[in-house]
Amino acid sequence: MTCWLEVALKPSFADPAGNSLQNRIVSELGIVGVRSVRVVDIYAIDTSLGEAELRKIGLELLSDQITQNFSVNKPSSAKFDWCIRVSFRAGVKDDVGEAARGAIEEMLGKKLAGGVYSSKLYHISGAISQPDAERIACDLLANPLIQEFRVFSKISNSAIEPAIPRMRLAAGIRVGEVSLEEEGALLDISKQRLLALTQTEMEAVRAHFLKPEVASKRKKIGLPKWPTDAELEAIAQTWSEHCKHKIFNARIKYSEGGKAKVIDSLFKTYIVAATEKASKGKNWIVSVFSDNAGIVKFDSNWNFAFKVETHNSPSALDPYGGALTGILGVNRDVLGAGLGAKPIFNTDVFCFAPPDYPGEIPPKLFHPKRVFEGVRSGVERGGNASGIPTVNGSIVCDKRYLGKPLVYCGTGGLMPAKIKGRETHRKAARIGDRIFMVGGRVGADGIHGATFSSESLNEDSPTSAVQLGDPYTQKKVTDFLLEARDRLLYNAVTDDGAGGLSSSVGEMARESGGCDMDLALAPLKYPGLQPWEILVSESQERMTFAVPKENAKEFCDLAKIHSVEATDLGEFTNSGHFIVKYKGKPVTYLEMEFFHSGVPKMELEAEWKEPALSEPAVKPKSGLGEILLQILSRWNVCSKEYVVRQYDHEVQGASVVKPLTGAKNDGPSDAAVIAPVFGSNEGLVISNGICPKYSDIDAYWMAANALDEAVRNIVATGGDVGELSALDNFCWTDPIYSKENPRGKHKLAQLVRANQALYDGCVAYGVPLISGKDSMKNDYRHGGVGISVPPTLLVSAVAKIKDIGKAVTMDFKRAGESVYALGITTDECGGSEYYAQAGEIGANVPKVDFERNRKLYSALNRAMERGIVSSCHDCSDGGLGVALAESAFAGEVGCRVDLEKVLCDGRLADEKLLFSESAGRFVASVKKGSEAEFEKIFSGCACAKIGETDAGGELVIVRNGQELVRRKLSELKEAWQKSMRW
Amino acid sequence: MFMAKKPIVYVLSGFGLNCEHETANAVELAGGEGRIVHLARIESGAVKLGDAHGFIVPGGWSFGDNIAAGSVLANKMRHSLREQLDEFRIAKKPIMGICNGFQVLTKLGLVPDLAGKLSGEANLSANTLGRFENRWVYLRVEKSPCKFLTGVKWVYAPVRHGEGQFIPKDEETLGAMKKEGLIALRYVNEKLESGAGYPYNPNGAVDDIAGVCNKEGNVLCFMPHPECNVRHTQHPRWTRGERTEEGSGLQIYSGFVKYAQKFI
Repeated sequence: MTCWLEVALKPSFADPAGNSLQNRIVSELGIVGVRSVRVVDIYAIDTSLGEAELRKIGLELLSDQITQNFSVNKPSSAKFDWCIRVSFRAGVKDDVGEAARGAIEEMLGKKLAGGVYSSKLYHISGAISQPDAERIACDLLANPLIQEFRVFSKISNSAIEPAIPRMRLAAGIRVGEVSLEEEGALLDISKQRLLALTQTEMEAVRAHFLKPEVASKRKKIGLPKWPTDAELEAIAQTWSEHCKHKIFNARIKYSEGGKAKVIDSLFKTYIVAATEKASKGKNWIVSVFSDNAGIVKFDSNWNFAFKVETHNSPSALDPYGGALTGILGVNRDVLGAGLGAKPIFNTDVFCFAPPDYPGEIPPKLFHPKRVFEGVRSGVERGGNASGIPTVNGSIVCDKRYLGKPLVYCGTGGLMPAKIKGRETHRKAARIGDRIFMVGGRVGADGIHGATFSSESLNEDSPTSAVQLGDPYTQKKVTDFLLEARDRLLYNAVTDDGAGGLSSSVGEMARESGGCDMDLALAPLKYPGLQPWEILVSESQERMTFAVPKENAKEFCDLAKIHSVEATDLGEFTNSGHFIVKYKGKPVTYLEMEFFHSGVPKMELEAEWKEPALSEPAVKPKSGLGEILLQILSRWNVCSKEYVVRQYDHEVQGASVVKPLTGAKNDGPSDAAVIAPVFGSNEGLVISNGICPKYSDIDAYWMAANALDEAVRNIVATGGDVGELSALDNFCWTDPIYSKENPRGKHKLAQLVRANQALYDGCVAYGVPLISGKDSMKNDYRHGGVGISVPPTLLVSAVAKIKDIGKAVTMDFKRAGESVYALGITTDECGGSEYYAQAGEIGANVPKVDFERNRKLYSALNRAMERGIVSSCHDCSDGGLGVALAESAFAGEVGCRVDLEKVLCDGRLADEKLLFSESAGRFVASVKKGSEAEFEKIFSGCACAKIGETDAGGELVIVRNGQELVRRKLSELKEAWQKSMRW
Repeated sequence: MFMAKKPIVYVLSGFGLNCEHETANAVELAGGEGRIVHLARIESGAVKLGDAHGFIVPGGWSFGDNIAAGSVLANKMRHSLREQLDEFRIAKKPIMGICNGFQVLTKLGLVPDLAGKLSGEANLSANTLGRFENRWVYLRVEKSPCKFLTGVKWVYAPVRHGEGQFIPKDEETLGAMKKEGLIALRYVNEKLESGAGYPYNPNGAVDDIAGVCNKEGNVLCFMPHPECNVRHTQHPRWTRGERTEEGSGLQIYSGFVKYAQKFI
């Protein structure tokens, strides 16, 4: 029999969760008439327990006696007009239910026969209709992919009961053979099984299994002629775009203006080549491209690992779960870098459609505000509950992200350079090492994640690809891993991400030359999973270890202390084969060589035609002050404090420059600074650059600006441009030409050009690309509707700062200091916020002069080293106008500047001087008396004193004596803060 | 002159706690020996709580804050650590609960414990705003029996929580807490005035209560994180020249370590 408890706040206490839902019902759905919302927790216990036991559970564990009431096996209250019950679907991870189960067992001192399932009731009072109640359930509360809801009316109150989403799978284990006999059916097989393999790739698989030597070996061990389902699935995961980056490694014929050239792998030609050139003479680069994350030296004792990932497709289906698993997944990349680095910060960059998007929402998609909230809260949960500070980020809005939001999650980690003399960045599974799976159990969740993200979002997108991460389990795994690492208990580790065990074990087996494991040993969330499902499931919070036999016991004992499950699945061998069994019977027998290197190289075509664009005749309709206020309120410029405050950005105690800064702790920092080693003055500066808006003009300059912005932000805060590394994350729209994708050649040309820019910039700046990732299918297709994201490159950057005490923030510090504009302003409003505010794109995209900037950045480094710069802010979205306003209101220090003094290329109109987004520029204020030294350091660079800070509490901008802008700082700040004051 | 021996302070870890490193570091800076100890090792007997001179349950997300912040860890400790914790407390050794630690020790009834029965006289509920916030707050040190706040006037430190609204059981409890001086720390504004409202009181705590001690003064719990203001560059406005010595969080740790010294 099932028992249940309801836990509700006592009526005398306000319900914060209920109140915020009530606000959202009005603001997001426009439903009026709701008087109150109260949230009630239900715990269903699928085991027969007595009344006394249940009362004890309610009293001591599930409720708080002071603020809450609970009821046993009956509803807690009937005071509502509508009650919405939201519960998980069967098989979806239920952290609360699991925690309750463990605690109840601890309390009662006995195991429960069945599970514990949590769900929520929303008691809504007020005159709303049933359809309204259903809209609240659909649009605000439940995501049908992972949750179910039921609406009860006041009358049907007695019918309220808990949901028991028991997982039931068909009985019987079966390993199927997938015949590839018919060549014409290959693509259908790929589509039906969600393999995301092309005709050519399927043919390569077919050809392999037709080889006589392969056939005879298979016969000998009792496997069928054609691949088993497990084999085909494992191949598809390993060969997926997600894992193999086939587009980045393709042979591309690129043509531009009648001239054509062949690029053999974008990755090798641009990314690797740039890094090789930029790395010359830099002894701080430890490991690039070969591991889960890039690794550089931090100081003589510590190395630093950095990785940025995207989790776009899952976030489109379930914004909360997708973002949560995204952040936890990239944490594991760093945990699995070398022998393991401890995550010390997260960074998050999101691209959404505008939260106030007024249009129709196409089928299967969510309103951008809901996506925003879901992603925000998923990352909040993932970072905060893991004890990893979120130190830097960005939010970019463009209506084309309606089809797929972009969710970039990054993590930096620290590892001792050596442990007992062993270098920690080296790892390799050795022959005879045991294969250990550690952490969460395997379930049906997260099957086909890797292949799914290698396709556009369409009608058939699988719901099984969605999963909910569990930061609590992962934190235990983290604590365990770091202790096991310090004892050198294993030879190699990697995370179970895309492709699950098939990828992690398959990848590690390359070092030893093979593996032999039995899937029947893997602990499951519930019985009934097929072998192929166990092999490719991407159930979260798992890592795979290679443990020498003699350490296995100590490894298991340590896991027990940390309450972490560690299971021996088999061993690494040198058989040359990826051998997987189920209860001793083989289910896969794949040659390692074919498994990892058998995927055929893609041949693609790219064609660049410059878009026909022209400069608009935008004439300011209102005064420049008015336009400045409008730009400050735009989504790409406005304060993101609402999001930043909800992320713990200081846990671990390393914070030096926080994301919010200034006199009232609420100005926008350019970059974060942390001092991760207690007692040391050495630090890291972390920033990002992203500007997809320039892609509409030329993806070359989009990428150039993204790199420059990331570098600029670092330099503005005091990071050493000579010790700076970057990560590239490309999120593109399908660049493979086909009848269905007629713009494919153009999109691929955009990708080529972006790579060229990144190469040019990294070589000029001497910036190695230590890690990167690409996500190539950010398109939505449904019926006749297609939405593609603008080509988007995120550059994440990290640099050393030798003395954290020299870091500089962007807020003006005091009245009476000289204000300088560094860099040259050009007529470059193409793609700018100023043009966008007028509904235009323009043609004059900001062009980056890498050589010129490099000199300027070195000079700024030297000036900061001298300690004479009191504030420095980078000019990006909204140009000089926005940078001046932000520096002034963040510091609560006014200023008066003369635009005529700004160094510019040719004669620019007032509005262009103020709002052009030319790269390589800063606004800086300099300590009194140090002006001459400052100017000397910048001799040969573009550096002009444009005014002074003052105590007037206003931003005053003049040109040749004529006043263009005079605004109170409070007014400017209000404009900047009001957009996202939710 | 002889060097005073360093008191050993156990900082609890495991099961989702996550501030143990910076907390142990603050103990070290204050002159103590901060040892990070996994709960399972105390439960198994490998480590004895009684060997320490001070005990801190630091911040974190024990058991993912599932069900309610601190409740599952409190439930676990109630069953596995009762005797050792009782002994420690009755010996009047110093105990501190920070953020999640405050939530855990409140559920265990260690504060305010007016009745001396560990019966649970208060709760930390969801912030009135209904969301997690990371925000720096000013704390005024009130007159209390707490043994390690002597001489400290105020502290500036960040809060980072979603469930920090302190709610005493009833009016009588609040009255008795005031009478006994158990409200050790209050949220105040820059001028150190209480009643300043949000955001100075970031969670809607009754009577601006940020920290609470027991009658004996050896248990102190609070929501903010003073271990994140023990160094000049942690202050959010250090680049503006604001000083860290005043209002530093290290004062609390120094007082704690000094008091722990008595038990060596």
